[in-house]
Amino acid sequence: MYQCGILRRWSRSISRLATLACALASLLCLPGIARAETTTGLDVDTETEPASAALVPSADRVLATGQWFWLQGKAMPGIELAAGRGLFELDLELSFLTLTEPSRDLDASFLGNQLGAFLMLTPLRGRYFDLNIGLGGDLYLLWGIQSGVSEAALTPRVVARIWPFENLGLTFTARSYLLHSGGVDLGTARDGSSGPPLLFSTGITWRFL
Amino acid sequence: MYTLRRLGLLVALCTGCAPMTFSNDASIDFRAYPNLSVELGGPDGSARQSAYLESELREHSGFRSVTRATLPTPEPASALLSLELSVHSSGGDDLILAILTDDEPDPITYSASVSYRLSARDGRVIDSGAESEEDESTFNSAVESVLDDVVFHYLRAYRL
Repeated sequence: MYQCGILRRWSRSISRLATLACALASLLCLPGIARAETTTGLDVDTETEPASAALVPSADRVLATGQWFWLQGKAMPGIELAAGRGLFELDLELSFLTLTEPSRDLDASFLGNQLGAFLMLTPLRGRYFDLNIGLGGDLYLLWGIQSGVSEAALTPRVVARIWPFENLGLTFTARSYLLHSGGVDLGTARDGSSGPPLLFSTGITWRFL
Repeated sequence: MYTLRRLGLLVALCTGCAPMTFSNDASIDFRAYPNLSVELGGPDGSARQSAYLESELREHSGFRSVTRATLPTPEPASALLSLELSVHSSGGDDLILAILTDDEPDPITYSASVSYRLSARDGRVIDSGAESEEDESTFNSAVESVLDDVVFHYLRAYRL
């Protein structure tokens, strides 16, 4: 019976993650305008064929990041997928949250997943450095505590990327929680002491496009 | 050198650990009612669902002990949780018609609802409520989802 509950929680979480992945895939594979270079060196826009249109991404950059969130008493590794065009970028995050310090309130250490979705603006974008500022949401699905437990936060976020190599970069993010549900408190420790309400993460980014 | 120092400062700033706490306040005073007896009834309450509810309450709720109302217990329960469970299905009504016309039949979906009441040993009602879940693909998932909602209501207090 208990195993059944665990499996159902897993299947619900996987279903939510699949929905998120499908949303990203559909955004990346929107039929778009392919750029073709003519012999004169001028760019011309050409409509793609319907069969190949689904394979042509409308984004001018697609990035994947493995990142680590710096949290007291918790470990939070995750991945981020980002797709952008011009000034705009859509970032999606998936992380796994565990306790690194034991708690009397929970037998297990695994808490659940963090899902993040952000609409970013890219005011600075160069060969070696880019800066993104945006707004989005963090959703914590704490199914390690109980299947119904979830917390959410409205999140302003800054992302800085340094590109020492053309396709490999270092990513630094900072975020705060502007509005949040009652069960999550960034900037307050378990013992009630307070700290800076800023959550940083560091990651390694691979540029696909 | 100056650029490296600035980069080092950025790295140091971005690797500072932030405190973050997840917490939940208990919906009732579990210290006053540590031992719970559960009685699941209604048209769709069965032993299997009762066992599931007990197991989930035991694992996640703030009650120290959870037992079935019909079973003898070593110590008297300080509270009784009575639930009425009902499940309804929808869709699939035109299955024969769909087969005859080669149409895709509507998938059968299940909705479950439960009303609950927590009473003290003297019969006084401590807490009551109702939960419902819709559009579940199986009977069991509808039942377990709605019972999970009840367990969520009696989730133990935590600070993680």
